[in-house]
Amino acid sequence: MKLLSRLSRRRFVGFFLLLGLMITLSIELPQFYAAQNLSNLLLRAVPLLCVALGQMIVILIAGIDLSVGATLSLATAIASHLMVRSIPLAILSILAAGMFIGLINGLGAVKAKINPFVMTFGTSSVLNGVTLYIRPSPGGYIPRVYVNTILAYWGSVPVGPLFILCLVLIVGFWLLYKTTYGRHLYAVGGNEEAARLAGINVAVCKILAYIVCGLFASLAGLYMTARIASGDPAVGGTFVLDSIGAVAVGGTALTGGRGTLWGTLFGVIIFSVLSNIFNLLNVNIYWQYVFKGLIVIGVVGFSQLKERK
Amino acid sequence: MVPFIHRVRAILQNNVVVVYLALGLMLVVGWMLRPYSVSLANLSSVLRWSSILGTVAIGQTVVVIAGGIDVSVGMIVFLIYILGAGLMREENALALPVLFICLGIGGGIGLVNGLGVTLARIPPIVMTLGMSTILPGIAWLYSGGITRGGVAPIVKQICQMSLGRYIPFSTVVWLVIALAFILIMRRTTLGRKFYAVGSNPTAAWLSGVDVNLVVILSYIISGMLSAAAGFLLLGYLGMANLRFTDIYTLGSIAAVVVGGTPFFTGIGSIEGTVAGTVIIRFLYNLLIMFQIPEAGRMIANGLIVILVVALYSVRRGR
Repeated sequence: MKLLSRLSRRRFVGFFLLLGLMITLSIELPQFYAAQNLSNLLLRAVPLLCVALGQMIVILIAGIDLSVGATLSLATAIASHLMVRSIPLAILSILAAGMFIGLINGLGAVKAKINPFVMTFGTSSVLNGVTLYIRPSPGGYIPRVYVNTILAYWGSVPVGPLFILCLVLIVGFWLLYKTTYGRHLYAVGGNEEAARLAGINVAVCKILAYIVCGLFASLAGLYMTARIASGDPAVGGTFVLDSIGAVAVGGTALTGGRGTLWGTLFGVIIFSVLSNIFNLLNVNIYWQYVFKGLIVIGVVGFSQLKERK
Repeated sequence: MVPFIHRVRAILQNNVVVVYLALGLMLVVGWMLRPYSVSLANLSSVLRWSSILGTVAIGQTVVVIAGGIDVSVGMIVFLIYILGAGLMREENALALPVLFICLGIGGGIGLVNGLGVTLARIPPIVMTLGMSTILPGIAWLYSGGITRGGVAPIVKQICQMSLGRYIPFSTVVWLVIALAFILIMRRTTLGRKFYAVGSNPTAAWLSGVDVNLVVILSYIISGMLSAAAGFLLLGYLGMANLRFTDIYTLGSIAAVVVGGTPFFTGIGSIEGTVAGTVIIRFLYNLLIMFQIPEAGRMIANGLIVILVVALYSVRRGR
């Protein structure tokens, strides 16, 4: 009984969902485990993991970032113009843009005390507008060498995306669990007043969280640039709900202060596996929209119910 | 005798007064930049579009005053816009039943939002964001990629009608709804409950208010008014189109915020939102006159929301 109650704790919910899914899959859809499909899955999971990790850090401090999708789109749009001139310049300016967006979000939410929903909703609209100015419709040119480096294959193993995935996980792990800043994130999210009394600079900690989130979103944009080999003003659209959903499914409390990197990883894998299965089953894309919304609502509702007990 | 300047300052403390002053200022600026913008013909067009956004914004105001947020409104408008045409099939006899069905569907969506927020305790933003993913999926599934049915001639006729040439029918509908909600919010106990729940749910609960019911009701109102707006849009345009740009979600939030209803504080007013809506639509209209593309209008909309919220939060902080 004790074991059961321990297993039903929120951070295991995602794990069991995934386990159940995987077992069902191996019986019902053997082609899921084909090498080609697994590498497809990985290719899809990388950008979501990037965005979700940033989103999780903001949610840890009881904030939220609705501008991640717009940041991602903007990144691909900038890349589609700048990469022709110089790839390092493009990468640097995109990462800088992501951090700047985060800084603005953070200043608005923390210093001007604008509610983070409203603030990031506003910046999201501004960024979408800017993106439409510089790249009104999908297009632009991305150098082959960039695409081939990011999406490098070794035989049928996508080593490039795999490398990025590991890199993001290692950076995330280091940031959350090996730095004082990571501890501060949990402290501020858990009890802001206590954190302040313990000598933590709460404002800086929160603003930094938004900057990290913007950085990760623009990193995901750099990856998506390689995948679509162009700039697309609409490519980031689905990432807002997906990232919040993946973080919530991974057991991070939306009220802040609690959440793990592994939970978020599980959430991301579940989201990627689900959309992969839908595609394998040839589910109509519109049904996929409906299911995705239902899953997010269902899972968040379920984890909130657990919370109350 | 209170000095004049103090009295002015006291009046300026009232958000609604400030909003209407801003609206007046806006019209003057518009007149200076482009005299045509304040002509009756143009103002009539601004009012027509204000009435669709404004109907959505009234619902959004109620939700925001009650302490929530509804980002599914734009997609409710879209769903009803598609569904309304599909169900009406260009038949006059079906116009009224379809209107009620649409309002029912809008209310139903609001009910689901409300239940998710209260009983399942899903944060409003996640609940309504999830809903706004589901709804266009349903609209596309229903239509199967092509626009079905059509608007009944009588609906087209009524929605495109203008009273005395310059007052669009939809504006009358909007103002009547606004008036009704001004009275509800100011004069009824239900109205007081929305404010009470928004400013302090625990206190409201302790004084015997059924908090969950009030919150659910606010989402139902928002859903129904969004559906009504979708119907007005359908009637005015005269046909449904799957290519739909959602200006209503951010637009309604902008109207609420500009109208002096800050988020998550349980204060604000419908009167303010009415002026806020006209400000947003007039600005939009002005930007179109200067041939600023959609991209520029999105930037302006986002900047206004951020600036106004920052301004109010500074004013409150003082």
